[in-house]
Amino acid sequence: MIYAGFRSCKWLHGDKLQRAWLLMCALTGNTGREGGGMQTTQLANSDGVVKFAFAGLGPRAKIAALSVWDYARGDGKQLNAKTYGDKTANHLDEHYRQAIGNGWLPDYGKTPWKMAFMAGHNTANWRASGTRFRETVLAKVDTIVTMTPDMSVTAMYSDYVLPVAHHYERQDFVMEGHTPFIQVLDRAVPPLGESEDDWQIMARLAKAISARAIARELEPVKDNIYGQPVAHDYRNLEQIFTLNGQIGSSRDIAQFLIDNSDGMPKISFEELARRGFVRGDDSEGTQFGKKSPFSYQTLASTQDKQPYATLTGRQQFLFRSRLVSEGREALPVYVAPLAIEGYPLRLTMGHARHGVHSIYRDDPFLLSLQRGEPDIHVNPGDARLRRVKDGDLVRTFNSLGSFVAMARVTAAIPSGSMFMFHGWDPMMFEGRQNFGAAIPTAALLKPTSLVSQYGHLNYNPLEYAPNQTYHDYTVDFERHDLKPSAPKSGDRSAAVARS
Amino acid sequence: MPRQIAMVIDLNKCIGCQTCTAACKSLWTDEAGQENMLWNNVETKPGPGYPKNWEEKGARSGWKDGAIQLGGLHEDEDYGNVSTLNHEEVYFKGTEQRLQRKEPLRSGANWDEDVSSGDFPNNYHFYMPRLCNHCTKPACLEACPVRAIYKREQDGIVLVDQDKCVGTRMCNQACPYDKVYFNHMVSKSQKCVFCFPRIEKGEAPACARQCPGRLRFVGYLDDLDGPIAKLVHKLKVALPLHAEYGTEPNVYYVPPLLPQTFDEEGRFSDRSRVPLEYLQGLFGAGVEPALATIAAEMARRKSGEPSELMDLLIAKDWKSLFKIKDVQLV
Ligand code: SF4
Ligand code: SF4
Repeated sequence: MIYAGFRSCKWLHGDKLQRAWLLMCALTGNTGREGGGMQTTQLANSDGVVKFAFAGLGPRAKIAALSVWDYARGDGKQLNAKTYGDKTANHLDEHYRQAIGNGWLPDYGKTPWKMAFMAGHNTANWRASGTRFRETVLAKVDTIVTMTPDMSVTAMYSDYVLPVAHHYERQDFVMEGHTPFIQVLDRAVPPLGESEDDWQIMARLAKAISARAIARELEPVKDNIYGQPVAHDYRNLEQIFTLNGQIGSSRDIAQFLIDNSDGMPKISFEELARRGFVRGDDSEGTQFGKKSPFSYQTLASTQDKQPYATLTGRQQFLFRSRLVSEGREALPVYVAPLAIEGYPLRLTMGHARHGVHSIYRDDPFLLSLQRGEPDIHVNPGDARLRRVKDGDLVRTFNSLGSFVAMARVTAAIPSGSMFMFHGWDPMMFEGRQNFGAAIPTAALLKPTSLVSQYGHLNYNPLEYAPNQTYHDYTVDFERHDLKPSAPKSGDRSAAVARS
Repeated sequence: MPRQIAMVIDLNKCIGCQTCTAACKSLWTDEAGQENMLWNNVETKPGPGYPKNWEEKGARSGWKDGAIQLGGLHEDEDYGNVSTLNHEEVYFKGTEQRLQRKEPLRSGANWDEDVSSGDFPNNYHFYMPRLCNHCTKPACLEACPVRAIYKREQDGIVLVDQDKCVGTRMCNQACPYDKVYFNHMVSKSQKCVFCFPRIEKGEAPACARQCPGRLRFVGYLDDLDGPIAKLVHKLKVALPLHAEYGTEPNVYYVPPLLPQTFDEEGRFSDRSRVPLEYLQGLFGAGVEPALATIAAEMARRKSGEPSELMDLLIAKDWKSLFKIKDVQLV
């Protein structure tokens, strides 16, 4: 079993890398058997979620692939031209236009983005080209409301911040596909200050919207979701949202999901809280079985001989489409990652091994176990060349922009590379610009992922869509004159207030 | 018969996640005066460790020719300077400063995390968790002029009686592992208590129980069926750290067997990645046979033969890590 995680998906040619792994599994007889195959993650079975979220309502959500959205919103062609030159930019843009023209992709550039309601993410932080996104896209949105447990950079851009209760201030559970366990998140302390259970915030908003809609005698609003006509009746929003008053808190949702999802031991939330964790049914082995609370979809073809959605109905390794001109896409052969001319070093990133999530990144104790501030790993030879010593502040830059972090000089990094654990919020950097200032990849769309009507290759945001890319670029670095110093009120800084 | 509880830490499996450090911190040392105390710390080796350069002082402390040596005291800075962040200014006063510590960190508990020695791709480093060794010949106890430190009969845990301690800091000077800390708020020495209230209930210390790497074994040294006696005495793969300091420590380490170096063609050579002399400097002459045993048992297991050692170290069932009284599932 190749546990791939999500990192390979973040390279432009990540699709080929994964196709190569799958081909390798097939050629070595390691496919369709226990311990074989490749997996990015094992998703939870969605039956309980679907019963809860769509209770009798049919399709309700429009989901956009981030990459396509950003390409349209952030003038992707111009960004690519600046970074990779006109040839690459035009080539990608042709494929993009063709996909839009054929109706394969929705065109998100058409309607203005007037209001943003952010929940469950710190979008101005982790998005590729984060700083550019803040300046060219986010700054133009009329109203931004953010639900967040911490004062992230996204919160700093918002007109309204709705503080959300943290883990252990609310009742919930978690499932993670690489373990068979359902683990409780119980409330140990009441929410701090004005913060509230996120469900309750949403429920109060739904109630207010319903009251306004009733007062205005608002008729149902007609909409079209993936070709299906629907009508949203905002007067009933509160009823719909709470399943007619059945659901009043996150705890109620947790209980609903336990009761209504296959494979979950049928116990009360209180029992789960007492035991701490329980094991899902049918969850022995490296991939969990049909009756487990995890998705069985990926096994249906190998175990039950259900045909794949490919052209041939089998695992398909040859990709031949008139729409993608390069022969090098037909089979998973090596293609070098993209670089920016004049910048010799490749910066890569990954989750912190020690798992300090960005919402805890400003915890003084956890910081004291590292370097107390954001740091970037550099090779000793590369550092010497640039007269950089361990602990110096360095400015990492390329044609898009730059950011400052402390150099951690280590032989664990090969010459020609730099590495940084991500999750550092821009608020912690000089000028409030993190690596997002130098990641120019937001508009890199893989042409093969823009193709539709080719077997299973069809735009569907939750199944097949262009990925946002994070790695295909290069940088350089230099000593930043300032030593790590106590904050001065005159620190040069990009204004966070929107103009 | 006095008994001795002990811990074995398998350095091959430690990922440096600091869960143990955080578990200890939140259980025992989260009060004023304890800010820079880490009864359990995890440092990167080779490296100066925590407190900074403790081994230099260690060599001047402990026992020498049957007498106690007082090695002096560290500067507070060596434990990492303590500072809060400027949250107030950034979020409530509207300044444009970045969010940062009011005082930058200059040397922290794991400042050298991932700072590797040697040259890529044959570089090497590993993480080493450290706590009080609850020594059989505790230098701290011997050095205390008011007899505030005692070693318990039933489990050998070494404790500082907080009512008797008058804050002479002699124990700080004598301990070669720098595992006694001074609380400036109450002017008393404080140190790891091996979670004795948990031990009394048959539960492992928090650092061991929380470790996601399943690499910290806890049990009695005289329990011949327990994991400690097997690893230390029977299989001889767990070794004391700096035995030459003379305190007879009761925390043992399985030395790291990192992959061999690469040769020019990118194939594994037969040269070990961590220089043997470096490991011998930490764990003594027992390193070579211990690593040979581990390598041989790994090979046995790979070829499908049973291996008691590999079963122990892999710890597929976490309960096999602990043999205190009964392992209780809480
Ligand atoms: S490690 Fe130090 S503090 Fe702990 S028992 Fe030994 S001498 Fe005393
Ligand atoms: S919790 Fe375990 S793996 Fe993590 S640093 Fe401590 S000993 Fe190492």
